[in-house]
Amino acid sequence: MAARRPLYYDSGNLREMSEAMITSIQNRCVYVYGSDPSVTLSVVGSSGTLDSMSDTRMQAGTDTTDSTNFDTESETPNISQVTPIVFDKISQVNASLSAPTDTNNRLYPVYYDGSGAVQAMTATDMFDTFITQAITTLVDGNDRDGTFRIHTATSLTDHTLISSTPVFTDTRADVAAYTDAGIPETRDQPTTITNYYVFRTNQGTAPSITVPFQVTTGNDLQTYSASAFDAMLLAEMRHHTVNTVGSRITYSINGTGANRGTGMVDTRLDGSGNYQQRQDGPSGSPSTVYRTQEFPNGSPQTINTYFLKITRS
Amino acid sequence: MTIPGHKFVSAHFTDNARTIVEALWTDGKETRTEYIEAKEGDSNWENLLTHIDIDALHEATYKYIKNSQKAFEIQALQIAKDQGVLQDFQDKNVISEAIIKTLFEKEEDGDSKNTLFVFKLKLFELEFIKKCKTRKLKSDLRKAKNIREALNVAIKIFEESN
Repeated sequence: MAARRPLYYDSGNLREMSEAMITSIQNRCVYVYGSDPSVTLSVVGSSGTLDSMSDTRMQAGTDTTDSTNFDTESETPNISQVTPIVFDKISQVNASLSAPTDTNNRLYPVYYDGSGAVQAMTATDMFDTFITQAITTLVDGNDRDGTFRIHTATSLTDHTLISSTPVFTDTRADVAAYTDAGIPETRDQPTTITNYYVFRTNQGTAPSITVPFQVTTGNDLQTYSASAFDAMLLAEMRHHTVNTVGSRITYSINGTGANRGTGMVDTRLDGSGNYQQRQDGPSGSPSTVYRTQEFPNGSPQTINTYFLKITRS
Repeated sequence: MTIPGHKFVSAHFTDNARTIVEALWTDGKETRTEYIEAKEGDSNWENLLTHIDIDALHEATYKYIKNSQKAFEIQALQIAKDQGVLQDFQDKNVISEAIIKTLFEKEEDGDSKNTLFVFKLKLFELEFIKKCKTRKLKSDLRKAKNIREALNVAIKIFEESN
């Protein structure tokens, strides 16, 4: 651990940055990362790299017919669960990056070494002073620039919708769609309860910072230009968030880390079946058909909750 | 973490273990649902607790469950009524329909005998029929072959008693 205090220009003097100045630069790292995140989520048709999620629901039982009388409830097939619908639509994509090149040790800010010398920070110093704290902020579960979250609508303030295709849909049997007059009813008649979408948090407002000194090619000290300093910070953030063990941003479904946005719930009706009859024809006629069927019923219960999680690993 | 641009509406736990909360937020036009893990350190959970304290959350959960049960019962009753399984006998139109159906619709053999038997029993429990001294009318009532005949005799006894 070698956190440094970079030097900055102050009315003709070299001064060490305060804690507050360093914190501002850490926040600036988060901000610049939001302009071009190296770890992104995309919505794919199938086989996403994150774990899949399953939506379950109940369906009506098979209908029965009888030429003499109604089959009893116990003779009528029960309602059943449909084959779970698998949602495997979220993929994490990591940019392919190398560590920034620090030619002649001039890339990073300078600091006072306590022994009379001013020298440039190393890549490790840079990481320990700014980057690691910024990554911790990025994965704290709040809406941080350039990170991704789940929401239940197709628009969200300060966010960009990644795809209008939901990454998870909770469905349930549509109780109102099943009627005795409709027997034989189509067994699986679902209704959509909630769609869930992936969003990226937009780049926010730039935190104001004090820009430090760097060593020029002529071995002079000079304040970075604002754009050059931002570009250096961005390159560091992008590199460490995909390459540095323990600092790589990783998304998962129900893995470790902080939740990002709403949980995605799979709900299902909990009834044991609504037995119904339908007589097709007049009583006593040999052509009359006595039909029965069981329909889904009950109250919705949460079967599973899936969270999009973010962590550093 | 609040949903940006939304205000808190309500929240309740969704599971017996009290680990997941369903929170409702509104942007002024639509209400959005957010499922939150009730876990210390979770930013969504910590934010939720700035809008509702834990006691209020448990109380809201109790009320939600009660209301859900009530809503389910109402829905079940409505379905039963819609499908003719259940009749509302406080509704005079329903009573009228039932009377007409009972008196004038063709009866099934097996059902009608039992129904007629029960109907006569109920008539004989009426005070004015118990007190009737006209043996012929009582005999006619016993011998009535269907509900129409039985009711016709019962009306005669009623009119005689008044």
